[in-house]
Amino acid sequence: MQKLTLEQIKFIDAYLQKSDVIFVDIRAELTDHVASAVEEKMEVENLDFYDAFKDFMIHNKKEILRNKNNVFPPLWSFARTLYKSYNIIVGLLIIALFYFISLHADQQIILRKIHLTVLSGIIIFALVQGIITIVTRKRYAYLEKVTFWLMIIYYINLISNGFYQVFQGSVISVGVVLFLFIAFLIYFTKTILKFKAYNRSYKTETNL
Amino acid sequence: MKNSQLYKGSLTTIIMKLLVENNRMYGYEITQKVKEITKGELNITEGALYPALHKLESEGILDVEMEKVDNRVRKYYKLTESGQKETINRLAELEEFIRNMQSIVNPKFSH
Repeated sequence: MQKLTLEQIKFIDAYLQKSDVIFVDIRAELTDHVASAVEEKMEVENLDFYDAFKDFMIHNKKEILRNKNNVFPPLWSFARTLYKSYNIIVGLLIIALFYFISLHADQQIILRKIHLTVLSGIIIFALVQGIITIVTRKRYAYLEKVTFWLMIIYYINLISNGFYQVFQGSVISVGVVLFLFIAFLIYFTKTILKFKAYNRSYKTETNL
Repeated sequence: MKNSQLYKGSLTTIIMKLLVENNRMYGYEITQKVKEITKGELNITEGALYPALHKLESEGILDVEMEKVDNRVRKYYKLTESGQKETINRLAELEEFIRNMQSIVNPKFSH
């Protein structure tokens, strides 16, 4: 079967980009889908690239672009990591740490500091990600969907420990939020490492 | 998709069943395989397929592998360990559903 050239692949990618497929990784998947269909059309119907592409898009554009920017948050894949052995160790360490904090006379001051550190960590994390997206002008569904959990932790923290100035947290609520935040950081790091491997192959192989 | 409403609820189970048999597949391959098995009767549209794949991925049922193929990167889907167990449950549910439908639509052949 005739295979598309790099230029033709870039043409499809550019077309999808112009059609508002905003996430780089979703676009790569759709590019492969369209390219596979076009290659088959060229072979079966003996068409050149542009005729095959045009014909395919006339019939399938609506379906290809339907739900193009829908992102499903990884609801269970993060939740499942919470009882992995490394997170159980983190949990036990946090329980030990907070046990000693509970014995301390300045318990509330220490808890408040931890609360503010976690809150600042979440805000800095979200800001850095936003800045990277603006600077690189690239958005990846794979990464953005992971940060869904950061938002959840942010709200759990606010509801259980108070809104900025008014601290109302306890040893348990601050401990739980700290555990969730560390578990999230581990999950995000693992996701980034996996994503980097994908992205490296995506960039080096296609130059898109 | 022919009679799409009838197939809609079974799309993820169809995908999972195909992945049990083929180990790993990419999006276009799934659409072509379904077309081939059903002799063109069932056509899974891209607008239904990719959200279903992404949802299964987000649920931890599917894992992905990226590979360079012919000047582009291809995303392969495969079942995770929990996805394999889930496939057995969903296939059992689907079979039960088919049996029940058979009993209603054509009671003579339901036993």
